[in-house]
Amino acid sequence: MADQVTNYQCPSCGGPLHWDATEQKLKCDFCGSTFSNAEIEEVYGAANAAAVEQGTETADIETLQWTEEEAKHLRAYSCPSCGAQLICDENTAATSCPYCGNPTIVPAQFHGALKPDYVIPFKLTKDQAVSKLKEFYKGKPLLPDAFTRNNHIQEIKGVYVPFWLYDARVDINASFRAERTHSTQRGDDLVTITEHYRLLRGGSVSFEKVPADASSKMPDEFMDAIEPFDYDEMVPFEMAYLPGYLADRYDVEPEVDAKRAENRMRNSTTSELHKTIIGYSGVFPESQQINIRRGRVHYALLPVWMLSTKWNNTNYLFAMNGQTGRMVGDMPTDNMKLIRWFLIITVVGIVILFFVLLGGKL
Amino acid sequence: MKKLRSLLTVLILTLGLGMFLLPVFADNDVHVDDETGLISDYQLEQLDAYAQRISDVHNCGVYIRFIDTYRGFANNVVDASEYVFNNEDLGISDDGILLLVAMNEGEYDLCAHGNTANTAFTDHAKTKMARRIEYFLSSSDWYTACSEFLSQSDTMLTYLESHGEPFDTNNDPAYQQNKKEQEAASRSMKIGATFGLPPIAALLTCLGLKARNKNTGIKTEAHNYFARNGININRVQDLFINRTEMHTPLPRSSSSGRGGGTTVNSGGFSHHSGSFRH
Ligand SMILES: [Zn+2]
Repeated sequence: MADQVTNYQCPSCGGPLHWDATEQKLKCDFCGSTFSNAEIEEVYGAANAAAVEQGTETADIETLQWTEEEAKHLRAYSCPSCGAQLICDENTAATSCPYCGNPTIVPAQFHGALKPDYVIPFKLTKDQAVSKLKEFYKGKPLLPDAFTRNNHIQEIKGVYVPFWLYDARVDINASFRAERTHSTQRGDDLVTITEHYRLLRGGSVSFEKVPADASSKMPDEFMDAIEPFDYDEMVPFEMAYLPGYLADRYDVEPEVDAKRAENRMRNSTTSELHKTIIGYSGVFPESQQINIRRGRVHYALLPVWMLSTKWNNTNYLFAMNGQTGRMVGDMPTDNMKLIRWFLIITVVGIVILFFVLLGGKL
Repeated sequence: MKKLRSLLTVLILTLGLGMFLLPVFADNDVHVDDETGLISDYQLEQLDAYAQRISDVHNCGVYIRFIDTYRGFANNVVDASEYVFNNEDLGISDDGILLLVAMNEGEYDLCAHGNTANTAFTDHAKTKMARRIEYFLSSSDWYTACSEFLSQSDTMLTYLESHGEPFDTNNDPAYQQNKKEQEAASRSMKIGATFGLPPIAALLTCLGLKARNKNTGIKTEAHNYFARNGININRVQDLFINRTEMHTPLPRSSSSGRGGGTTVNSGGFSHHSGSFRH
């Protein structure tokens, strides 16, 4: 196991490869050669296949561990301010905490955290992320100035956020009472005819890779809102994708996150079932049984651009899907700006209505 | 001699024909008639004399007819009054106004025909007259309803003659006052809107802008993660149980046109009808 080096090396010069988001290729730091995923997989195909099979065959997720060789190139950090646990490549300078913005994060002991099964590489470069964020802020006139300052925006960080991806099959059986009504005129009376039905529905819905973020630092409503990721670009994890980015360590157990994912699957299954109920004016549920058959759980790192902004002693987070560019945030309102906007709209409105409705005189 | 005889024949024939033709062109001089027996003979005489006087003064026939029912010759009170007007040859040269009261149906109609009547009895005038007539009819004060109709008719016709224009919305002080009050009310509404709406709009806009600062949220569905061919709803059974019926009576609706001037139908009649039994 020890000599199975899954950390890609440059096929030309043997130097370390890292992921380049602009070119969407693996690039050698020394000779500058670039390689597509396919090319690299061809070179490393045999070794890779062994590693992937190991991860997918077994239902137990605790199997894929970092090799000693990989661990040697990884650095662990923790944030004394918010407690975030981060890892990165030995050559990546971890300057500040992406969650709370604290500028002094300290090295920590690297211990046997799970190695991810999959990764979706960053597709947006930092420059693209910065310009998209500026665009995003433009549509928010009530945002405090602290958010929109350029030198602050430059602190945006690329973070691989850990996710559990759940496969499952949901079996459902349900019965409903339903009504169909129509009216006709008979003599001087309006006659409303109601037909009553009992509807029986049943079946199953299979889900693949329903995501739930595995970082306790990352608010769930951010990662839910940043969806979806395009899984077609998901590849088996390699160290080469790490340089230049931080990776958050998972600290939420898959059992815990499963509840969130299963709740989502349950709701979607129910709504698929409801789609088969057509043409009734009233539908009332009678009974419903749902059974979730759990499948595999995958561990993946998904790319997120993050920026934490401190304002009035509170940290406000911004997140951008590093693959699709979808942006989410929960940002505060500058009350002075709010009042200014309120007054401007009120005064302009009164002036317009004064002329339109009152003809310019009281 | 022969000439004289033929001249006489022509004269007699002409006179005879004239005697025969005269009632066709003559106007009906029964101004107030009651087949229901609700109005006493003495009162009828008084009303009829009054109506006759008004008709003569204004050269416009004024008539009242109380009937038991219009079933049998008309579908509604409007058709009934037009039928009566034509059939009884009412009006001075077809010019006049008729108050028809159908007792069984509890309905009445004010029906005007001809140039003078249609000019004098505008929609507004008829509406005003009908309000008072209807009040007395609904309190079964038949005589007062009739004399009210007659005096109001007199008033409207006199108004036309002395003012050169009919009594209408534009010269009814009560209507004008009402309109002024409405305009004043609408103006204060506009002032209220001018100063009340912008703050509300501003508040809504600000809330909208504020909402833009937050677009995070927990997802409650997993629609993006269906497996390929993963949806198999294979049991779909709709079982019919029974059928129920509910009967509700249909509401009846009526409508009437209103506005300045007189609304005259294709038959040359204008009406104001209503029901006095509620
Ligand atoms: Zn921190």
